[in-house]
Amino acid sequence: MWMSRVNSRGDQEAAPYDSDSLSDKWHQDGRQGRRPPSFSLVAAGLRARYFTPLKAISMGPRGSAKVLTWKERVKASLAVSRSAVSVTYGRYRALRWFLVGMVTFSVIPTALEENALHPWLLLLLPVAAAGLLRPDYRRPFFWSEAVFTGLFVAYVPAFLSHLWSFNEPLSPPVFLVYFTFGIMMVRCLSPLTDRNLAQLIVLSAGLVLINCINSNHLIFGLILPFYLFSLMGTLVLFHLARSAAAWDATDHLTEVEAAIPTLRGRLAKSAGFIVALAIILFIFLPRPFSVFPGLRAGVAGGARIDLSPTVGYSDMVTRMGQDRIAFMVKFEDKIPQAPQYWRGRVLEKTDGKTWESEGFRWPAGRLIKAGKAEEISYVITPYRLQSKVVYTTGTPVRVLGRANQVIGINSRAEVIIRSVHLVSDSYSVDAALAPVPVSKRSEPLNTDQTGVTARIKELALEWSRNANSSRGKAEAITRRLRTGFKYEREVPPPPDEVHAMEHFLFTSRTGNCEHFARALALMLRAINIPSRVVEGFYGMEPTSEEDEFIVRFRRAHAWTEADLGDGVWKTLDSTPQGAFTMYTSRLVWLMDMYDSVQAQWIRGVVNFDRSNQIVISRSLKQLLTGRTTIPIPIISNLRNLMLVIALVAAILVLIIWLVRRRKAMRTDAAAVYLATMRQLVRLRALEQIHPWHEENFAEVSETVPEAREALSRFMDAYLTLRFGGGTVQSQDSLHTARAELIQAVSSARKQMKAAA
Amino acid sequence: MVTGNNFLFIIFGLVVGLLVVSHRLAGTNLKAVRCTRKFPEEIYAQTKFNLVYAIRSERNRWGIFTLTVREQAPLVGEGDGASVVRVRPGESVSTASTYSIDSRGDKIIKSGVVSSAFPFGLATYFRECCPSEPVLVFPKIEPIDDYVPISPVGVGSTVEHVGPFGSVPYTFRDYVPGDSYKLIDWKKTAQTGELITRVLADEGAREITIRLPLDVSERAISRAASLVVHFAARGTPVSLRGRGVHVPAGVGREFMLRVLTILARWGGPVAESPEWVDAEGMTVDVDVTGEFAWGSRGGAL
Repeated sequence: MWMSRVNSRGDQEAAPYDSDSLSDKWHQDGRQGRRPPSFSLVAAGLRARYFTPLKAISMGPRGSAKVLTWKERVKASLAVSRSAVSVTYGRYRALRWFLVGMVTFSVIPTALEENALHPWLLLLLPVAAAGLLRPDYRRPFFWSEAVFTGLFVAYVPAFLSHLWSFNEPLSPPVFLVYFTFGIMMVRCLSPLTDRNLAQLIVLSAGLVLINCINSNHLIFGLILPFYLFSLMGTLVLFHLARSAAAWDATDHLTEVEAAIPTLRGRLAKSAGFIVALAIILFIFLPRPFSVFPGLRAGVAGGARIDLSPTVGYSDMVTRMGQDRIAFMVKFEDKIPQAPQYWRGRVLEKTDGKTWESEGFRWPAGRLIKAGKAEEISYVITPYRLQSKVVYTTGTPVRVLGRANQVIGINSRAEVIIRSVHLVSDSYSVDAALAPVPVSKRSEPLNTDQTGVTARIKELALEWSRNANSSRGKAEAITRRLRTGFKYEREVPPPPDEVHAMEHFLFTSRTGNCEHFARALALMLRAINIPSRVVEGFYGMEPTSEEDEFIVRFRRAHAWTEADLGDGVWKTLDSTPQGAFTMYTSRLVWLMDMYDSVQAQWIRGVVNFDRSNQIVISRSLKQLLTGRTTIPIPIISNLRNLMLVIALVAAILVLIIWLVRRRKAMRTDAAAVYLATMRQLVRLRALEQIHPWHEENFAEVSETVPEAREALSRFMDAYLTLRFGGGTVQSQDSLHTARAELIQAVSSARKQMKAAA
Repeated sequence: MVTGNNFLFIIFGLVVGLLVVSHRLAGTNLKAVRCTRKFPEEIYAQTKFNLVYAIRSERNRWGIFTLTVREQAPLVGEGDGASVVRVRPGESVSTASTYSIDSRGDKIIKSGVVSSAFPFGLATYFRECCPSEPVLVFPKIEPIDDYVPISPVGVGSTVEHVGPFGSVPYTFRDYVPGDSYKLIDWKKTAQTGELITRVLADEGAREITIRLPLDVSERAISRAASLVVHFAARGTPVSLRGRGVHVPAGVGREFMLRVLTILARWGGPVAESPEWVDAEGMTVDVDVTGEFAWGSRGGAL
């Protein structure tokens, strides 16, 4: 009856457990509503005051009989089956959506940069999403896994050749991004076994990690919390699915799915907490003294600055977006009235076709006599213009970079950043509103006749024949260029066999600032006037702040500087008037807002470093010690203020806690009441749950008079807890009363059935 | 000065936050567990039994997720213990797992261990539940139908009553504690002055005395216990004799449990050697190897 079999040798044989044992009998007693007998052996130390079996889950022994150690248990919990598919057909819809979110939020940031995933590959995301949303994970999506693997094998050389053919840098992070993306697509469209699903999770996390090295983009930073939320949801639901599948608890899928809304809320709050903690750690985690090996700072747009490229005029007029903000200027004292030329690179060397800077020149090591000049101070904040050149107006005297480190100014008055440690989100400039002094070292280069053809020289002599001085000649040529030619921003390039400048001067007579500046420089050199081309910007636009101005890319300009014999480089602008048309698109306000936010992002996140931490720590120290310059009219001692704030915060926390506790108790009471009514419906003591307590009470009393007393006690406990001054002990009373009620109703129904 | 890629610091902060949240959620999940376990009334050595757990979720608005309850030695179980996927807040769920205990006697069952890999399945958290409690394990039981001989009618102190139509299927014997009052033959009782029970022949007609030797083995105890259970199921009075032990005959479940308790704790200090008195009814001597030696009357060992 209740024992295992014994064979002829007298040995015990393993046998299936007989259900007629006393333990099952006890279980049956419980189901009949009788309180199970209390055994003296098991009653000692029981924590629960009562026990009401509501549900039974059939559990079957599985696996070996070996008792696992804790290490083996951990390993078993992390082990993922290679062939099992725990995500049941047609169920776990929320998990599928979390998966879609996780994959999407991990892939999109990788396409934000020019040197990362090609944006066209994002067209595959809807396909991946459809694959992840399919109801049956045991089957592949459309084609077999072998086909997708074959497509991946073809994809690898394809993206490699793409990267090489476009001369894009094939750095390991870029390769990993493409490779990981390919594998993720294959996994999304193949049968999603537990192993493949776990791989998908790891790959998405890896993609995010790689992108951290590749990009510091604002959009990436904004997407991270959403990715975190999706990742947490995926992990939780995947764990639940695996557990339910491993324990054969398929009948509890409904329970799990019913808990998903609650879990979603918890996960959202947890994600918010994690973001807050990450921000705190980001601010206070000490930064190392040097750059991490292999890593470099990120700048606006997310790209990494490598200090090698400079942005030329042609780049600024064609690629950057005319209406985008190149940089912002904030004047600290005086605001210059006249439109300003913002000097960037100085181009002195030409081969007749292109103009380029002479090359590195050490910063000026001797004092240059500047004379009397008006001084201005301003702060330049690059927005979308990320270059190693700092654009300045006037003759810069001192330029400070990150952590107020001095940036060298060369004799051409160029401010060029030559160290990554000097890159900053803004630069402080002290300048003199005066032309740049001439350095004798540059004279031979600036009179070089390379590129000056006979026709150009003849034309220059013709235009300047009526002038006697260098100044007169320069002005004459400038005037002729300004009045006799046409300005066009984008000009088709001349034929290869034609001299570009001759084509402009004699054939097309149409060009942009660059053409005019170069032509003027060549013509001045032709008549032995030292000259050079300068690239930069012209003018600025006001903002809502009085001392702040913005310079857009459409103000990119090129002009000529000439040494007319007075020891300074005179600015000569031969570009015709009206070259700057201030047409802006309707969405310029949106773009400006985005550029401003991105500038703040660069300042606050990308370039956050030890200097910022030092400032923050000093401010906190001042705040805590009370030595601060913050004016507080009412409370002079900040320590008292902190105490008051702490007290108010403590009171608020206490109130919130009490309210939430009370709310939890009331919610719990209501849930218990509804659950009890549902059970009474199942026991046929109630036909349906009425909206009024009195109706429910009357119907149950009429149907099961024997349980009236128990019902009264239950209602008293419920009403006390829900509407009265209930305590935590009232919860136990409610549950006890509920158990008694159910028991009374069950036994009464049994007796009625037996009598019938 | 620029000090590296700040996004890695952000990722580090997110990972730390994730670990903190995971730890917190797992702790909340386990803290809400209120688990009680229920042993069956009778536990026999080396015999599987169902250990039932009542798992309740308390002081938690979200319930309990993916919980597994395991036991420690001396309980030996198959598989990974009892598991439950979800317990709603304020509700209870019962689940069971099969265990066995290798040896008889008084055992202290240590606290069970509840574990859960909630929320992310990346780490498993453990907590003790169900305080340790003593459990008495009866000796191992075996079927012994093949070893019980068919005793002739009239053996022992029974009297066969022959009715007018021949043998009747009942007989008389002395009253044994545990006999139902309905079976007392009051006429015979009045005649003899002692309570006489009328029982069906071959059922309760024999009083079985189980005798255990001094150097009793585990197998002998197990076989003796098997005899007790076998005859108790049939209503046959059973008495037990052994070193320092004399349990007078009795029937019924309570008596059976009493005898099994004695056998479970067999092995205590030896009293002086008993003087066997003549046993009434049938005797069965269980030797060291557990073999039975049946006899009609007892004799001194």
